[in-house]
Amino acid sequence: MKQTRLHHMGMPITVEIVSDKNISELFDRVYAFFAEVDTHYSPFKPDSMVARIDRGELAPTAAGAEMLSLLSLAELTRQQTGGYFNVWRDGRFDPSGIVKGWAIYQAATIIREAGFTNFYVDAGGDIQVDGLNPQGERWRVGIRNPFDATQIVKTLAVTDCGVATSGLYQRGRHIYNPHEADDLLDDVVSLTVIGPNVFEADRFATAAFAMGRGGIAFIESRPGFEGYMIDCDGMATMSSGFQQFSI
Amino acid sequence: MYLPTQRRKTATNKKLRALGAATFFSASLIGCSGTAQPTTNVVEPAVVPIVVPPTPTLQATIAALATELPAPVDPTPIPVLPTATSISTGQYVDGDYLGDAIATDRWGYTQVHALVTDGMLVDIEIIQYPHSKSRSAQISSAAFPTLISEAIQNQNADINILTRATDTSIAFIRSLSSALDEALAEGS
Repeated sequence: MKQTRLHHMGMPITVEIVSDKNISELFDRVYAFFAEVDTHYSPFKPDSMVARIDRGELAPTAAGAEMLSLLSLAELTRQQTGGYFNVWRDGRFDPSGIVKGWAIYQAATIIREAGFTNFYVDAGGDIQVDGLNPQGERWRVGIRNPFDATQIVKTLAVTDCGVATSGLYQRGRHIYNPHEADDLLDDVVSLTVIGPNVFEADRFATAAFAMGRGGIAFIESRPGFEGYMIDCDGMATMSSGFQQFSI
Repeated sequence: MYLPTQRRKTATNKKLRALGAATFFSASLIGCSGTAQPTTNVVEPAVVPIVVPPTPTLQATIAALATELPAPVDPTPIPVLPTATSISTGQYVDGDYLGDAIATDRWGYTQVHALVTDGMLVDIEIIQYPHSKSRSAQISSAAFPTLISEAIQNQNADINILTRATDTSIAFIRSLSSALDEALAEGS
């Protein structure tokens, strides 16, 4: 059973759960969770916690345990990525770069706790896959050609992991190079990361993309992560273990 | 995903298919679930750090911030699972609709394709989105001998899911809105 709905921010979210039962109630719960995350964490909603913290109207310490936990994760990521990942910049607060992966992971937890083992959750191209597809094989994930949206350039066969892609037109939002503010990151157009789960894949894809061409070497240096980077000339560079997921 | 019996409404759809857009639609309707064979996990299972104790640095940061901010307001509890909202409200006419190509930035256009089944929006595909201008650049992978390089090449493969950079642009929403406007107009 598969459903796609449009998230409030314009991001399509697709959930497929391998099951013969009518599980529409579970789908409703999963999408309700995403709606709730948007209510609290969207930087575009004036009443969200994120917007209130950004305007200085709400102290992060007063925003609840969940926000504090996310801030802790953001700080951990900032340290692990040498400052390339930072939810605070230019005096503004935008944790979007960590919230999405976290939300997908939590949605997957809801499905797992409902007793399902074969499913995926795809929010805007960042994916958590569990178990196997309806054919009993590993889930097939295509990497979109960044120069031609009608084509894929790689097919992955994956299970129990996260896949996330960062790309050019996120520049100016949460993808930026904090060390060279004017760096347009033209060289790298797409970086796909496979990680232990979508939360890990997403945060490292975001940070590694901001590193430009050095990003794939950063992924190579992280145990449990693989990456596929596409540059503006249509050349791909992949980490040493990437091909075991490629078919 | 497409249904076996398709109600093609737009002339552009043929063009879409010619472009190979169908490649992106999930193949998961083909066949049904067989017996799942256990496979070896390809990634080491990792403990997910959903809750990590605040580091001293973070605590110091938060403390510093707190002193600069107005008095804390009451903590906002996280409500549990309220009613979902979506735009799949059943008011559309079945068919597939191509949205306008919306100028996104200096890199190009964003355009989406919407599929409506049983009056509900069931799938959205991004047909166009901006890409970088072409220019020469040095290949730096030689600096990392364990990395492998190749020229990208289009594949023709059945996939379940597509990974791509997030499409959260205003242009995306505008293109989708125009596609859905058409879906509404079909019924008027």
